[in-house]
Amino acid sequence: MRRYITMRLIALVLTFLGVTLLIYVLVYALPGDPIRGMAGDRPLPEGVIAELRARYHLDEPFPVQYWYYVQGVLRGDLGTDFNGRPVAELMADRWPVTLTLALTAWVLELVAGLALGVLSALRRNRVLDRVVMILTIVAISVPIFVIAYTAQLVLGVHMRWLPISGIAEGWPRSYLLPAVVLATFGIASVSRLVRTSLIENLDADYIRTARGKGLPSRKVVTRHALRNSLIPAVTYLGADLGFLLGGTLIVEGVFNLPGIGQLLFASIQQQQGPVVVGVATLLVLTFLVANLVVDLLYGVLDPRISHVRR
Amino acid sequence: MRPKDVDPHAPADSGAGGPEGGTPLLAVTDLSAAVRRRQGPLPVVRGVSFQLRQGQTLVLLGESGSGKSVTALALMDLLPTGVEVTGGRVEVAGTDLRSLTPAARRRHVGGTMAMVFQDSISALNPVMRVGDQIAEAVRQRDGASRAQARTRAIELMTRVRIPSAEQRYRDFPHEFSGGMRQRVVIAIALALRPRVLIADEPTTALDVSVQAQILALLAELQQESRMGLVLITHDLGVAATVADRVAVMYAGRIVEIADAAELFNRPVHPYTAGLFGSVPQMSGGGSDLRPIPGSPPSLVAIPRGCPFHPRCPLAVERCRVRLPEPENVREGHTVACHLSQEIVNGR
Repeated sequence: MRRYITMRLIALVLTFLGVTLLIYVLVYALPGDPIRGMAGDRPLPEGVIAELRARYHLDEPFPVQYWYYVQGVLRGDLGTDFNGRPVAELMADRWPVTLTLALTAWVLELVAGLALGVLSALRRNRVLDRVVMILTIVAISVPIFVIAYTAQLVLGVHMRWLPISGIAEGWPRSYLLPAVVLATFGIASVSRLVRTSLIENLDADYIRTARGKGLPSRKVVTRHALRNSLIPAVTYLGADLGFLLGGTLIVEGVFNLPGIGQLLFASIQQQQGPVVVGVATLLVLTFLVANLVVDLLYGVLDPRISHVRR
Repeated sequence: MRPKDVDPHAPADSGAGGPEGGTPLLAVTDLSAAVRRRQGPLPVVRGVSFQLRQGQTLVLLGESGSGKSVTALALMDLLPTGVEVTGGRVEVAGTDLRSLTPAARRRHVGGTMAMVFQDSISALNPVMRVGDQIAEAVRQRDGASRAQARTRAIELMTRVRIPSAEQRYRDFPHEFSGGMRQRVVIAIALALRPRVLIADEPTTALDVSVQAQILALLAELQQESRMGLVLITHDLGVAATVADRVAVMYAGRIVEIADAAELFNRPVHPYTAGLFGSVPQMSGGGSDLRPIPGSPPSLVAIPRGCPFHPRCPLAVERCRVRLPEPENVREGHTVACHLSQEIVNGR
C-alpha cells in the first residue's frame, strides 16, 4: 500500500507540472499586450513599459517565466495581477462561495445519486426504475442554463421557496437552488452508473454464494453487491469535484454568486493572465487531490488494486 | 433380462441403490423450469425426478445445456432472474420447498443444503477476505459471535486442508490458487452443516491432479458427515469414480437413471451408450472411438418426440412423434426410450 501511495504521489506531481505548463503556455499565447491594455488609449513612455515588463518578468524568455511561477506555487504564492494585488487575496473571499456551492452540489450527487441508483437497480424494469431512468435522461440532455432559469422561475419566483440571487441568506438557503441545478447532471449520471453496476453485480456468482448462505436480501445487497458496485460511481464523483469547481461559472452567473467562476470570467476578459493562471492552478490542484483520494479509495474498495502479495 | 421385469406403472425413480435405505433426504418429483420470455416460457428442465438418501452420491451427467445446472440451482432456490420453476415438487428433509414462503424457503434451504460452484474465482466475493466469507456463513447458520465464527472458520479451513489457515484467513480470493480457492468454497458450504451438498462441476476449472484431490476431499467429507451429495459433471471419469447412482440428462430431461455399476455395465438408452462409446479406452487400442453424430439440440429448437431421435442410430417412426415416458427396465433402473424393452431383450 505504501508503495502504491508513493507511486500515486509521484504521478500527481508530474501531472501537476504538465497541466500547469499547458495552462501557462495557453495564457502566454493569448493575443494582445497586457501592459498596453492597462494603459488604455494613452501611450505609455517606453521607460515605464520596460519597467513594468521587467517587474512581471515579461521580458524574460518563457521557460524562465514558468520557472518563477513554479517557484512561487511551491512557496504558496500564486502571483499578483497587473494592478499589483496578490491573486491569493483576490480569491480569498470568492473561494469559500465556490467551494460551498460545489461541495453542496457534490454531496447532493453522492446522496441522491446513490439512493436513486440503488432503488432503480432493486426495482429493475418496474415503474419506479422506468420513471427514474426517464428523468435522468431528461436531466442529462437539457442544458444547465435551461434548468437554472426554470428552477429560478418555478421554485424561486412562483413558489417563493428559495432566494434566486446572491448569498445574502447564507448557507443553506442561498446555496440550495444553485447547488441542485449544478448537481442535476451529476445526480443523473451517478444514479445510472450505480444502477448499471449494481444490476451487473446482483447477477454475479458470488451473490449466489451469499444467497446460498441463507443471508437476508438486505445483507446480500449492502455487504456484497453494493461495495463491488461503487467503483464507477466513486470514479465519477472524484473527477466531478473538480468539474463542479470549474463548472460553477454558469450557475454563479445565473444566480449572481460572487464566486471563483465570476472572477475567472472577468480575468479572462480583462487579460489578467496571472489571475487566470492562479485560479486555474488552484482548480487543478483541487482536481488532482480529489483524484488522489479516489485512487486511494479504490484500494480500500477493491483490495486487488493495491494489495501486494507478501 | 425377462420382459415381466419391465413395469410401465412403476414410480419414475425408486431411488434404489446407495449405501443406506430409509426415507430420502431429497426427493425431486417432475421438476420443471423455464426461461421467461416475451414469446412464452422456454422450458429448460422438463419433468426431472430423482431421490437422494443420506450418504449417497448421485451424479447428474450430461453435456452443457442439458439442464444439469438449472436443476441444481432450482433445488437451491438460487435460479437467476428470468428463470423459474414451472412445476413439480422438491422435498428436502420431508418439506416441499414450493409450499414455503420465500423467506422460510431461504431458511430451510440454508439449514439443509449447500452448494459448491464450478468457478471458484467468481463464486467468491473479490473484495472480502476469504476467512470472513467463511465466518459469515458460520454466523448465519449458527448465530455465533464474531470471535467464535472466526475460530470455526479457521477450523474449517484446516479441515479442507488449506495450509497455514490462520495466516491465510486475511487473504483475498485472488491470492489463492484455483485448487485452494475451491477448498474455500467447500469450507463455506461445510460451514452451513448441510445434509445435502450440491456440487456443480466442482473440478472442471482445475488441473487434473488437483481435480483428484478435490474429489477425494469431497468423498472424505461426505463419509464423515453422512451428507447426501449431488455431483454435477460432464466427465464420465469423475462419474465413474464417485457415483453411487447416475442420472444421465439430455435436453432438460433425465433419459436414464440407475446405480453406477448397472449403468456403466449395462447402459440402455442409446444416448448413454453413445456417451460411453465416445470415450477413448486404454484397452480398446484407440481405434473404436465412436462419437455421437450431430450435436445436442439448442434449447429453442428441441426436436418433437424424443429429443434425441435426430442423432439416434436406432430411431423409428414413433420416436419422431411421441415423447417417451420414463419406464423401469429393472429394479432401480429407469430409461426414457421407446425402444428400451427391445434393447434390454436384444442383449
